[in-house]
Amino acid sequence: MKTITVSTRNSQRGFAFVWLALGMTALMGMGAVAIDISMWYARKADLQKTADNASLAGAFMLAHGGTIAQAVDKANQIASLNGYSLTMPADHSNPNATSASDIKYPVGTHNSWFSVRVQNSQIPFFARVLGHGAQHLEATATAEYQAYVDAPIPVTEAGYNGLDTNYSVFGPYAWRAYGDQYSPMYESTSTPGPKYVSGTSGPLLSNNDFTNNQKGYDFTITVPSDFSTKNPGKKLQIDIFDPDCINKGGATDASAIVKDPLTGLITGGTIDEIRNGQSGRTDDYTKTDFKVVFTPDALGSTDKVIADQVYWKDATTDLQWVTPPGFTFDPAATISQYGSGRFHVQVKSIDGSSENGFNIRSGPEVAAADLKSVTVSGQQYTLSNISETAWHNKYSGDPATASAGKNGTQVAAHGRIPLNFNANGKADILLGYVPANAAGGTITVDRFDTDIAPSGQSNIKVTYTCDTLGTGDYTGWDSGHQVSWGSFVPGVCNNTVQTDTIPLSPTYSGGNWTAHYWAGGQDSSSWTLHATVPGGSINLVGDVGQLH
Amino acid sequence: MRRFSRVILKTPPRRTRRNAGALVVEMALCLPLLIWLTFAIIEYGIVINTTMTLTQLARDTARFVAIHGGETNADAAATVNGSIRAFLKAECAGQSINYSDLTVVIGTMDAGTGVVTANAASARLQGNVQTVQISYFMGNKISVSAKLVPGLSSFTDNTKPVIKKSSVISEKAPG
Repeated sequence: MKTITVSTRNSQRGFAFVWLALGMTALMGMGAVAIDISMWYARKADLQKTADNASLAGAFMLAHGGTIAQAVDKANQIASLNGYSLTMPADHSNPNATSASDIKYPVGTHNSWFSVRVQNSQIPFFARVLGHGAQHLEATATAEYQAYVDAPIPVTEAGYNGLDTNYSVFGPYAWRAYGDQYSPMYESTSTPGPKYVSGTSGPLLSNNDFTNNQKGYDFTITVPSDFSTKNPGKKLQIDIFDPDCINKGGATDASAIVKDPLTGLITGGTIDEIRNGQSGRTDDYTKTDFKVVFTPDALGSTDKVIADQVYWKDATTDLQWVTPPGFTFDPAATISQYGSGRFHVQVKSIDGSSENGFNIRSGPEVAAADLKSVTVSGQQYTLSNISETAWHNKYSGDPATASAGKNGTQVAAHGRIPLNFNANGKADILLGYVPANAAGGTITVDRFDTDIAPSGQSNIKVTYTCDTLGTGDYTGWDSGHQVSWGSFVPGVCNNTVQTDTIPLSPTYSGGNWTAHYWAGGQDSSSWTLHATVPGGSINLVGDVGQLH
Repeated sequence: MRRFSRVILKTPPRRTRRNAGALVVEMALCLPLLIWLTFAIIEYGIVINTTMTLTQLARDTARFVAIHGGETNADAAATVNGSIRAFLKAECAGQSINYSDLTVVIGTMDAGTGVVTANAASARLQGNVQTVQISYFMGNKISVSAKLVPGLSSFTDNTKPVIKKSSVISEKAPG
């Protein structure tokens, strides 16, 4: 018994040291594992940053006319500035899996995808005592380029498509729920929209939200290189239909435009809709800024503003084609000064909460007799003095008219189409030419607030056609890429976006696309069109990192 | 511990008191080591978390610069809507880093020296490379006890901030 007691006492002395030794081993082991793994993840985050930035740089170069070699060089430059160098195999479509880091282009059938993989290894701090060598770390990022598609308008009428529809822009103090996705700062209540703060002091773009129209709706004016040959001695003239936001007679809603059957002159109708909005505005009526801008093609150049004019409650211009000051200019002079580039008209609402309906046409400058000058309250306006039919015959260049072979210019909504129905009807929205290099990719159509059904129907209807793919509704190119539209479907997109993704087959050879939209009067909607073709923006389509 | 308790119960009261005294001495000797280890693990955790957060902030800010870096108010203070610093401040709001503790430089980086020189928004031309550099003193996060932890003592030096950079292409023309 005594012996046992002594033995017990002796064994208990230093017991805490034993526990400590055991506990410390376990604790330090776990701590070491945690630190090693954390270091790997920290390094992986660095690799991911590099892969993201490099893939975006490569896609950017491809989107802006760069060759594959230039894209690879730029991706390599960005990767090395971010701390890692890429070793590229010669064949980018089939990278060598064992090389340190590589680039893959194109990715599968996606001609618009540019993928970068960055690999590295990190020797652990502690696990090396257990014989763990360098840990392999890897991050992959794929970026896609895509561009807005120009949606052309055949301007033979005051309306966008016949007389029932118009382009339209809401004021910044309107509600998005009214149907303009990009101009208003508010959703559908008097509180600022969730995407903005301090609503009355202007929109703030929050994290990654680029919804707001910073420069307004954009309309491309295509000027052919032979414009001066077709129209000797003539400048280019851009006209705006009804740039103001007021209806003669005070009507607050839109209604179908009425024309005199004999003269072809507009005698009635309304295309502006007066709406109440939020506090902070000067007035309900929307003030709209029309700007002619030239964007040179050269990378690194800045926009050149050719002319700029604001319209508000100008009753004189109601239902008139107006030539704003400076909207008649010589495009050749601009091109010789700045090089090739894109002429466009930016339309941005700067105050008010109402809907301003308008339209745009372009052509050679018209004869002095076809214009009239009106001065009201000290402000001079230059208005068209002929009917649209007469303008069409003399200046549009339409082959079926006396002006065949002239003009050559084309107006198109660049990516975003703000549309308003003045009356019940159907709009054929020309989505423009989607070239063959979108093969294997997609056309994406975002339609916002397409929700007012035509009379006699409870729902709206949208279909798509392509001139090179037959006259029937396009439903996809094989059983794995089926899409279906074509019936009057529930108006699910009140104040929301419905995205129609149109898959293109790898053998797609280019074509003109049209959306057909049936809706009712006062339906306002915004359409956004982009395709995986060079020329516009880039974004990440996926990034994957791993430890293995 | 259960086995230890049983042993105590079986031992006479005189020996229990003697053992308890020994235990206190032993614990007194061990405790500093345990406390040091605990602090070391905590400090390491803080450093690694902060490093990853800074990497993320640099990356997200660079992405914002790629798109908005050329706008007229891009370099305005964090109180100005739409500026780069307003973006970074909003990003910090959900993180464990105070925006006021960060030093930000947006500009061009010398590939050789790694030095980032600030540039004007109007100079951030489309297609050019921009670098965002974020500096942060780890001393804002870790305590003096980190000086006693191998590998962390350098982080308490308040003349040497942790620097994170992210280089991107400007995607839009200035203006």
